[in-house]
Amino acid sequence: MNRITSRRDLLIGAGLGAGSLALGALAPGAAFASQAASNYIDPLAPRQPHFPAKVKSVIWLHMAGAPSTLDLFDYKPQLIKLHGQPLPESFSKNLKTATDGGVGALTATPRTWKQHGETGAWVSDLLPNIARHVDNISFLKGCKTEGSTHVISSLKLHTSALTPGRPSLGAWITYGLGSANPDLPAFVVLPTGKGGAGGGNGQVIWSAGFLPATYQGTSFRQGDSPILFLQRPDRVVQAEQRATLDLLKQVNEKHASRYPADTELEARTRSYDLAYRMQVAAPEAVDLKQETAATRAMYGIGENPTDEYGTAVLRARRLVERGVRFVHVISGTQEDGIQSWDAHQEIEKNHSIMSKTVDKPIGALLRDLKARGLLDSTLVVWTSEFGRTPYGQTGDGRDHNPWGYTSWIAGGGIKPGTYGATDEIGLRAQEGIVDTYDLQATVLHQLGLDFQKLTFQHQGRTEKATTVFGDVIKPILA
Amino acid sequence: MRKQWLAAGVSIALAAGVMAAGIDFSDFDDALMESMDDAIRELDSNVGGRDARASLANAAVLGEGFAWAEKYFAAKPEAPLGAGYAREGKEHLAVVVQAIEAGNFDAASHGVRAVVRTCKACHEAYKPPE
Repeated sequence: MNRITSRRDLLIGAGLGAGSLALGALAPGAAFASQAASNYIDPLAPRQPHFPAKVKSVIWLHMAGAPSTLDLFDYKPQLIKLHGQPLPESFSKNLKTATDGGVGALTATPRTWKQHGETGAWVSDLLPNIARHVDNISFLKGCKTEGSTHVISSLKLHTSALTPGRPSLGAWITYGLGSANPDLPAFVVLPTGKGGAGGGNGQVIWSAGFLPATYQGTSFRQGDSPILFLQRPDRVVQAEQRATLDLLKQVNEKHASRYPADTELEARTRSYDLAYRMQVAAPEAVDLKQETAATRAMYGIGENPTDEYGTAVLRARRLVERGVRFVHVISGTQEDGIQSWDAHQEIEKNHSIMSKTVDKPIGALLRDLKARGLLDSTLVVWTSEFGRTPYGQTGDGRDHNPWGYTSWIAGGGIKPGTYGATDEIGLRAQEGIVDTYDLQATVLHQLGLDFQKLTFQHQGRTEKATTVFGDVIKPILA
Repeated sequence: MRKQWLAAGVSIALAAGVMAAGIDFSDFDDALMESMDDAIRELDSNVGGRDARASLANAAVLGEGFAWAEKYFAAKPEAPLGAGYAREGKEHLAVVVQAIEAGNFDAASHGVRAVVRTCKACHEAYKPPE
């Protein structure tokens, strides 16, 4: 054990050392950070999972604003029959509504429905491209959550808490597995649309929370320079920058040699090198000019309204190809007056635009991943903070519904089909209930991480990604 | 003390008279439920750390809470499932305590998950929305 010689040593030993113990326990041969720089181990070094993983990466398709899955996946003939009637008491009993819109009359979906594929999954005419891939998808039709506002439920979906401060799922995964590509962030966020933060929730849904900040998501921008302030200033040539960094490294190493217990100095030196490598790797990873024109067209790039979302989703594919662990794609649109799926009014217009925005790109993603053999090593998750009610709101909208909605998962180790169900009108999850904790536990499981054993010491307590809750959804595992 | 229920993270205005599921919970002991929230998280952590003494202290808090909840719900016929959930919680907790006393922390951890599921089931039935 190192002798503590200063207050700084004590803080490093107490803080980073605790992480070291936690991670060392879950990943033999690895540690988050040792107490001495001479034993420094990169906190992003790849680590072994708890058990053999089914997938290497996750593409998390976050449908910000909450789509009405009653208009997309959850076909309810009974709701059509009851259209225009008040919500029957048999369904509304014990319903704890909290939003201001009140409970309007039941509103049938005007969509046309068809069963698709060998699994016979129902998909509405709003999503014809996703419908072609149902035989790769496990539909979770009994999803439920807590909260009735976007911020609270988005936090729960991503961090398992209803208030900010806990790490997001992508951060836990990065903490658990490290990075598979030292030249790129392990956790990338791809926001789209004018409300690019997604449901007005912003960075808190891809935060590292109480985990070290190195595990937080890195938000990529549109365009050739995806990371803010990463690129070399225009008037500095590459040789000049390299010479500057080499000099800086020499000076830092000389200084660090006087403080062998200081991991911060070692980390700082490494961060300069990482940024330098990223200057090349990050633009290359998102350079869609390297894709064929046919591929770009398949994703809807170069046409409206799919250009931006298609770009994000194709970038996601390129990122997982390069070993990025978790890519969080947040849906949005450039359409005036519509930022997300949040259709309290004009749901027909809203869902028509939002569906057109995401359907073709997601269909292309599934097709592309499969064609490249990547779907076996990637988990594609389609989810939102909640769904929308079978009863109407403001005449032509639907309210928030945390009690029953559909999410889906496709990819490695997932059995296609339909799991769970809502009640006859699609109000509440009734069978095969999946809470957000369960969804997170299942994603971790597929990555080879035991959600009960992936822990971090925080304020004297052993913290877990899904807090004290969660069960792996075993019936959907192949 | 954290102002949370299990997974709630936001204080619940039960004491202020919020009606959940059409049931008046204004006489509910919100503070007790918050201490149970803390206790179950601590219990999970302490069982993981194989700390018998701290775990038993957490279990005692939970035991008191379940006893109170059983009595409370027994006197509230409009919430008929509550007393049953509280009894179920007590039963699972007894298994946890027994396992801790026997030094079997794996069994205790398994039992904690059963307690958590019972708490969650009751919240799903009766906890007001955030």
